[in-house]
Amino acid sequence: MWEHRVPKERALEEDHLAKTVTALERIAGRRPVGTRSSHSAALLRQYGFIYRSEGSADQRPYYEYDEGGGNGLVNLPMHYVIDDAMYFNFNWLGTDASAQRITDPERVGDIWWAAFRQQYNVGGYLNVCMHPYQSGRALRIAMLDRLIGRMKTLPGVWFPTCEQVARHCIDRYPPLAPAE
Amino acid sequence: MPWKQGYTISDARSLTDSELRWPDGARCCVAMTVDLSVASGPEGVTAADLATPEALFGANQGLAALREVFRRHAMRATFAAPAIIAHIHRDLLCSLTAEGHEIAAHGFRHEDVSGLERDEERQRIARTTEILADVTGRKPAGWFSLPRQGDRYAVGAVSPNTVDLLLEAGTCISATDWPTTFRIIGSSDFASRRALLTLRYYYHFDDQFFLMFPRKGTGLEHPDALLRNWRGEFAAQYRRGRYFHMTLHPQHIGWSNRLQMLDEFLAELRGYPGLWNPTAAECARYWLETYPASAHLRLAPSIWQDYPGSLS
Repeated sequence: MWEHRVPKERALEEDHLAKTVTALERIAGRRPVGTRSSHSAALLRQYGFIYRSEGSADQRPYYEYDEGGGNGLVNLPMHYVIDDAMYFNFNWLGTDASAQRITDPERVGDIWWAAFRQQYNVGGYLNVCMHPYQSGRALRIAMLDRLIGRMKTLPGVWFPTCEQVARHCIDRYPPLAPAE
Repeated sequence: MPWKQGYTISDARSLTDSELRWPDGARCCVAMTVDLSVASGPEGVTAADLATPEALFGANQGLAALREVFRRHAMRATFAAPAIIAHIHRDLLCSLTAEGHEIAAHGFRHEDVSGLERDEERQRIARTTEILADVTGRKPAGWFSLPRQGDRYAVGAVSPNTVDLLLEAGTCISATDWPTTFRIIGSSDFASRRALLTLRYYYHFDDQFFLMFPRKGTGLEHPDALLRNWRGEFAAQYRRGRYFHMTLHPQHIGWSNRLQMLDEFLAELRGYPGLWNPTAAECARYWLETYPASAHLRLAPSIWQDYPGSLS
């Protein structure tokens, strides 16, 4: 997203998406292929996106299509349970005192480990959402370090980028209605 | 995008773990702040706030018990006092300095200054400094703007003028929830190259957000989460040789189970060799001499730009 929100007017939406792609391409040297945003599927496809990562309609990656059954995108779901800000960000989205996140990393590490173990047992998938200003804190980096180390003690865990997951899904399980 | 505005007006040049040195080869700096404010709203400490059972406990048994725990573990702390508290508890504050603790300013009555006229705020800073200097015999070196329960946005305890006015008044340090070591606030700072040293504060190491938060009677008690945050942060900072800081309130931490928890945590902490436990002013003086802003603060104008079509 250009501004952490997507304009409703189609022309402005495209303007924002085009700026986003240009800015990220300038930094990364290649165009982005994924997004966590509510941009329309048709525009995303037009600009070369292959996946979206938003919402928790399914526990595993799935395809989403627009109303006409086209513009298929892989969705790599994320759940707020596996999002550091839900536990650590004071004043998240302007919330009142009663809604403050006051959890410690050990407890979050236990929750994430339990989620990972359940998905490991069923051959599933886990998408961890982190914010550098939250998870980058010394005490939380230490937790993350322990968590990843623990995951690596189990055989057969794959740590891909989102793009790798999306390409794997498209190769192995092509969409029913391929992109026009 | 208003919620991101002001995030990137300055950048302290980071010191890597291996570059960071503490006095006498100490391994890790451990600093403690005790908040003596009992303000319940933006107007700061009121007569009613001072008369609550909780405030009375804090000023008497709570503070006495906390001091005893500090004494037992040979720990020194910085007590952030609103001027009117210093005025009321004059002898108490003097006895704290006699034990090696430091008294720092916590506003005139820990009021929200975000809407004050510049001159009015200047006068309050001057009056606060004057009262504290009179009570303790020395001018306070630091200005604390710790967040309160009632704050919708905790940085509301400062105004756009606060940093300039503090520098003008000769304050050398400030402690708020500003997240970096050196931090400047306000749009004119890049042009003037003025900076105020900030000692880091973080909600997750402050007792008030875990103990019957947000309101006693309807709040939740999470001492276990507080202890795990302290332990986790201390272990990580000690391993990296950096800085551990916690904030305490006598009315909260001084009470039974919580006091016991602090006692045990400090005993654990004292088991680690090479801790440096300065007051805020000592820490700030060391930092300003060793890592002066002229060499370690790289100021840059805000990277924020306005584009046509922005929704903000």
